[in-house]
Amino acid sequence: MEMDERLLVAQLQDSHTLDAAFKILMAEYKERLYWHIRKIVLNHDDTDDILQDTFIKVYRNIGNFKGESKLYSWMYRIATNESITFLTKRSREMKIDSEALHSHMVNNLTSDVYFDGDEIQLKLQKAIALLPQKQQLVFNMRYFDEIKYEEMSEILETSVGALKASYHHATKKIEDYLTKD
Amino acid sequence: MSNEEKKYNTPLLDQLIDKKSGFSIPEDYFENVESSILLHIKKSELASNPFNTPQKYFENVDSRVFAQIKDTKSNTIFTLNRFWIPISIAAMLILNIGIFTFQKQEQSFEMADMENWLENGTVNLNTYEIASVYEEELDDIDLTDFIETEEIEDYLYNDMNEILYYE
Repeated sequence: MEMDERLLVAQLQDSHTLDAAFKILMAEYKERLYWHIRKIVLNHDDTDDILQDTFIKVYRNIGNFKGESKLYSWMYRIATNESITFLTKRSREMKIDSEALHSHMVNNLTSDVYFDGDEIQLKLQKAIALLPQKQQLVFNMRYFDEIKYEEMSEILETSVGALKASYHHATKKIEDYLTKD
Repeated sequence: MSNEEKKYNTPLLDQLIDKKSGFSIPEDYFENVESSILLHIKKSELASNPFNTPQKYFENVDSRVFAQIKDTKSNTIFTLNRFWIPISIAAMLILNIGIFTFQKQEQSFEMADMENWLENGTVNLNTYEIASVYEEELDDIDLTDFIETEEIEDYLYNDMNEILYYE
């Protein structure tokens, strides 16, 4: 862990400096975490809820953070788990499987005021929805967030080699989908 | 760029998408989200329970409650038995003694009265008093029946003689 991050963690784990350090943490990571969550759940309001839940969990559990991974990786993992839990709960409530849910969410983008994408970007979302969940995560984190494979390996607890292979398969499928009529 | 990195480049995808997802956000969202999160945290802290419980308390509480109920029941039964059995025995004894005494008194009363009545001649029942004892029987008698004189004479002659013999 870098020096700055160690210092920040120390302040977060001290009750006297927790609030001030937490504001710094939020300012630093809120956008990255927001977009990571948004690409999983697609809808802005759901993303807002999950982002808040993620930061609340970070606030409550920072005392348990042991520094074995980077702070950012730890927070990213919480955000990923919260997003997947949300989708699982939503599919259970709607009594449909995860693939059907994802298709439903993509179809809703056409009437979503916070989706400005054109036809190709909508088609991209449809292509992503056809991928297995792990490949969706890998693709979004690598292509849009440009997260390094080593960091991704910490977040998704998967080897770098497997992640690279997963990304390669995902991009191939998406390109084929986008270029077909 | 290394061969490794080139292998994972996506020129076609870049050409088609150019890293744009199409998602947008409300105006000033990121400026306001921090205060919203902090407010949420403070609210949940105020609502949180400051009290702790022993480890595994809620896992064991059911069995402890049932054990207590069982003890209370058996203690209650035991206490009830200790209390009520002697009381009921005593009550039965008192009742029996009471009944016996009362019956004895009743008999004594009857005998004493009877003796008095006979000795003192205070038994002075008139025919109406006697009739009141036999009300039901008298109701069955049909007073309109007419008995012939000959029947009366036969009765007096035959039956009365027998009565005289037995007196």
